[in-house]
Amino acid sequence: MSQSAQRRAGQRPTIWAFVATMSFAITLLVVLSLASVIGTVLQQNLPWNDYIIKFGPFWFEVFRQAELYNVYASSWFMLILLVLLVSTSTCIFRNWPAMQREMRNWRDRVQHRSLRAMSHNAGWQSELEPAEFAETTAALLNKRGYRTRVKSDDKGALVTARRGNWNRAGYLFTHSAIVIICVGALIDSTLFWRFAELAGKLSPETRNMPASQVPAISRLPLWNPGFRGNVEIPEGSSADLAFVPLRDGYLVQDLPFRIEVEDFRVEHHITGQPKSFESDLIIHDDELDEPLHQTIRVNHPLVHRGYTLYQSSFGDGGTGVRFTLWPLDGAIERNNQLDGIVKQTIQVAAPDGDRTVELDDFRLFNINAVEDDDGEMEQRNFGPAVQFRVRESNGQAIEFFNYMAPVMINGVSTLLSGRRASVAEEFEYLHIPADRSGGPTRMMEWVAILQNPESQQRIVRKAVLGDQADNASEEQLGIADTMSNLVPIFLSRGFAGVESDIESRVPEDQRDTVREAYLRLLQRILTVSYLEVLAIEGIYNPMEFDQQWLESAINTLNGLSVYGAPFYLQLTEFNHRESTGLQIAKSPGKAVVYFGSTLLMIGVFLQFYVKQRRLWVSVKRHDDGQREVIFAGVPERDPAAFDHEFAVLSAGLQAHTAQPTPTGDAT
Amino acid sequence: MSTSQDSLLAEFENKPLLKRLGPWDWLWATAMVVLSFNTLSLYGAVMDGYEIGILIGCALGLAWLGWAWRPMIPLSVAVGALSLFAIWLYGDSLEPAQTNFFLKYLLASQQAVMWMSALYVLATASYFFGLAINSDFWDRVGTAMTWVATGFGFIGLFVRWRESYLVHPDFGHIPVSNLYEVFILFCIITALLYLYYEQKSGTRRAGGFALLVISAAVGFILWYTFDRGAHEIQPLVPALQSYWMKIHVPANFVGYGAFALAAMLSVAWLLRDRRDRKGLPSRLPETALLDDITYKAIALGFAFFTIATVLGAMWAAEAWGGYWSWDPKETWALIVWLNYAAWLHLRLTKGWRGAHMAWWSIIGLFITLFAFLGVNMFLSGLHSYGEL
Ligand code: HEM
Repeated sequence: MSQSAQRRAGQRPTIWAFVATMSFAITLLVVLSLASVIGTVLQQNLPWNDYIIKFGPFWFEVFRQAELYNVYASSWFMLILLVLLVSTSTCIFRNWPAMQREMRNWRDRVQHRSLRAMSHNAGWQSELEPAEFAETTAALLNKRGYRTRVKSDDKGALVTARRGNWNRAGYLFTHSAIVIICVGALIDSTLFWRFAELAGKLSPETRNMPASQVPAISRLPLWNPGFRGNVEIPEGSSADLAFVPLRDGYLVQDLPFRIEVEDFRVEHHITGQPKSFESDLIIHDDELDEPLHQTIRVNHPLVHRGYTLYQSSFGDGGTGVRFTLWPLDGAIERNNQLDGIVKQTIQVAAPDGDRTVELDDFRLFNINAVEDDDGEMEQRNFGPAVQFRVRESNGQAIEFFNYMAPVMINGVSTLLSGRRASVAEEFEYLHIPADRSGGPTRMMEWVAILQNPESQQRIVRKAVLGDQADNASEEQLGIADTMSNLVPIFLSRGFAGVESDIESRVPEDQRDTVREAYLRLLQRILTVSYLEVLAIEGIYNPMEFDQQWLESAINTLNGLSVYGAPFYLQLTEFNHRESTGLQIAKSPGKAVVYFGSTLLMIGVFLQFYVKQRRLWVSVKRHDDGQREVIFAGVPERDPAAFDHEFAVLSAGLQAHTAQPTPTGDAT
Repeated sequence: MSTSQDSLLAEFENKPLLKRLGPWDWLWATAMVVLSFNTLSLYGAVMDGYEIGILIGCALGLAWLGWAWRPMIPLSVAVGALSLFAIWLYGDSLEPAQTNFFLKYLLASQQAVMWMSALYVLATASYFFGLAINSDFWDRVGTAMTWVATGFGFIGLFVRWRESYLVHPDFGHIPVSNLYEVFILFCIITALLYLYYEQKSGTRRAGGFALLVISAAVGFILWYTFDRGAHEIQPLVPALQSYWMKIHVPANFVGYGAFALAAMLSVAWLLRDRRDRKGLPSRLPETALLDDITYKAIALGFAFFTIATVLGAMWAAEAWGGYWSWDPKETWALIVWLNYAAWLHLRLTKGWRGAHMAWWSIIGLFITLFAFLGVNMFLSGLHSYGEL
């Protein structure tokens, strides 16, 4: 530190001296790193409920107080950045004037002899006169990129040489860049809202409600300088606002224009992975003569009046769907035309309590990894599917995922219906073998026959008594009817239900015999009823397809016992309507940050690759006529490189200016 | 560093770069310009402004690199010629990879990468063998193999670039988009940086250490290939379909490569520093030299990492709607950057040297490794395309 800097340091409160020290700066860099780690280890900005589940109420509260759910917007993180900003500014403020002074100072008042005290020095005799020597030396040094200043009199001369002042500019650039970037980031940060919140003028909305009803205290004005929000707009609709997430709620940002979405498209690669997401937008703005049409896609946003519109997600925008409702429980009516719209609900009346069907999502493409015929995994599109929840009046719901078209699974054309009791689980799929027309009709007819009390009785009698059923005695029929319980047990609880029924009623030593008899009977019941179903279809000679179908269908019947809804919804038609998820941002600090970043890049290169050097060459004519040369320098930053440079210069200057000695030995 | 009086004098008389250039240098630069014009006239119609800019930047950069460091010229010529040969052999289909001798055994990208892998591992062994028996010959063999391996690595990437278009025209993309591809990039960049410093410093004795980290990366590539089938060419997700990827990723890997090299030289430094040890460690380069190269590598890495991070922020602004989202990858890049900023401050302004700085640069590699690999494995975020 130069003397004047020390004097200044003495006058100011010592805290500034401390804040500007390197140790403090380095501590800050390390603290900032450690603080940053937290936010990468703890997933940020999740719904608060997720944190409560993860940590329990006590730690949830502790972490919330510590603002760990959004570390990078927390007060303490802001504080670290602020301290960094102050420290770096102070550092520049304290160092730069001295550097500037040093840059201007040639230090050409050194004494010939004092040069010998420098860490690097060399000496030789010259045959040139001081003035001539100085001129030659300066020219040589200039050629190697040094700027020089010459002072000479008849007794001697001093050449002061230096290069690399830009290195100092590098220091100014990098360190100002840090300050500038921090300022830019602050402009774009939520700092201003924080003040508005403290002043009671702003508060995030946590309820789910239409944007138009969000109260003024949760709305950001048009003049709000910066924000980053999202809005989802269905095809054919428009919006003039964005939702800005804040902690566990959101704010509504009004926009000075309206965004209409004409169309949203996903294109796919042949492997099924998405290739592009595109939205055709129309911007309606009073400032425009006519609406602006533009297509945006990922990596190609639209910038309008300082607002940038990005393609960021997509979803369902209210697809119209039509179902056939197939009762799985005899008491519900079959319904061939049940219409709904995704994101809305349908009511289904049922004797044991009405159900609400909440239509959550529709997906046109469903790419799944499946084994192909050779046993290799391949990506296959299973086609359209609808996702919904069936909620009972007591509030409990089971979620379903039904594909529209059958998929080949192990050689059987199968309709898939996934079900799960909670979002945390994976879907478990019920496999419904498709009939010849690709639909579930045969399966559903079968279920209906088995469930109908009249046909149930008829079938069980036929299964027990065989061909004699038509002219059997009352007694025989009575015995047969005692077995009809088997069907409801199987339908409602599957094979496991039959087994537990046996266990509860039959002594252990007879169970094997009874089980065998029951299963044989069940088999017969299923065959008899199946033949009836085929007869309805007009099939009297079952073919291989029908045989295979039966094998799969028995598993399905078994699976139906845990299906969880009293009906199966077959998706029959849809009118696809998507919505596009736009991210809308305005960041006035961006230009500032970019400017700082540019300075930073330039500055770093200047600091590392512009070498700063300072050299002195002095020649003195002694009384005996000898002209003694001293060449000296002090390394600044990079001693190894300086050693080399000094050696090169020393050899070169000597070769050009030294007195040829009689022996010809230059050293 | 040679310090004989004659060479010092020669260096003093040396003219600045531009005046030192001979006819071959100009021929090289002309070739670059002609090639890029040729490319432009062939494909200019399907390139956007940024891609044309990148092409011209690459041509000028390569011309300059060849001037500044001569061995880049033969390397580029060999890589260019063999890559074009392979692309020509392919024609319009992937079929020849099974039938053509050169493709099947040498130049198809998968083969080239295997050659690269084998040669880097052999080079590592050769350098260590040379160190163990104090033999210059084996050191030179190590250097030669490293050069050839690097050539194969480049060929592997260039040919893969073409192959991606042959798999399906929609799939085509520069091969720096997933972990498999960037690990190859990491190997060749680290090797080139090492070879540069090897030539400038005139000693090959730290070669084994530099190559060790490359061999580790090779191990990863092989595991990733055989266990996970990672070499299969996949289409790009929409977020990566941008010219930014062409600059952001390579710039990052100059950083990663340089930091890795610095860490390995620090390992050599620590071994060499135990003066009492006789034998092997005493044959390592002087600590002062190792320290100097470590510093230079970190400075270079820091400069490129700065550029890469800034460019990454600009890309993020375009793709994700904000220049900085505190995504785990971004955040770890910042941590890496802050770490080396602290290292450089201590070294440059406080003049710290020695064992603790060496240890720090080794720890730096682990931080870098986490940013580069750990984030993809353990943390999720916007950058999650490179998952294991
Ligand atoms: C993130 C923040 C920072 C970064 C990235 C950074 C970067 C750098 C770099 C790369 C150098 C190069 C060393 C050289 O060539 O001389 C440097 C030097 C320096 N830094 Fe920082 N710096 C930062 C913050 C600070 C702070 C907060 C201070 C204040 C105490 C500071 C004080 C210095 C000083 C005094 C030098 C030496 C300047 C010289 O004499 O050339 N830096 N900095």
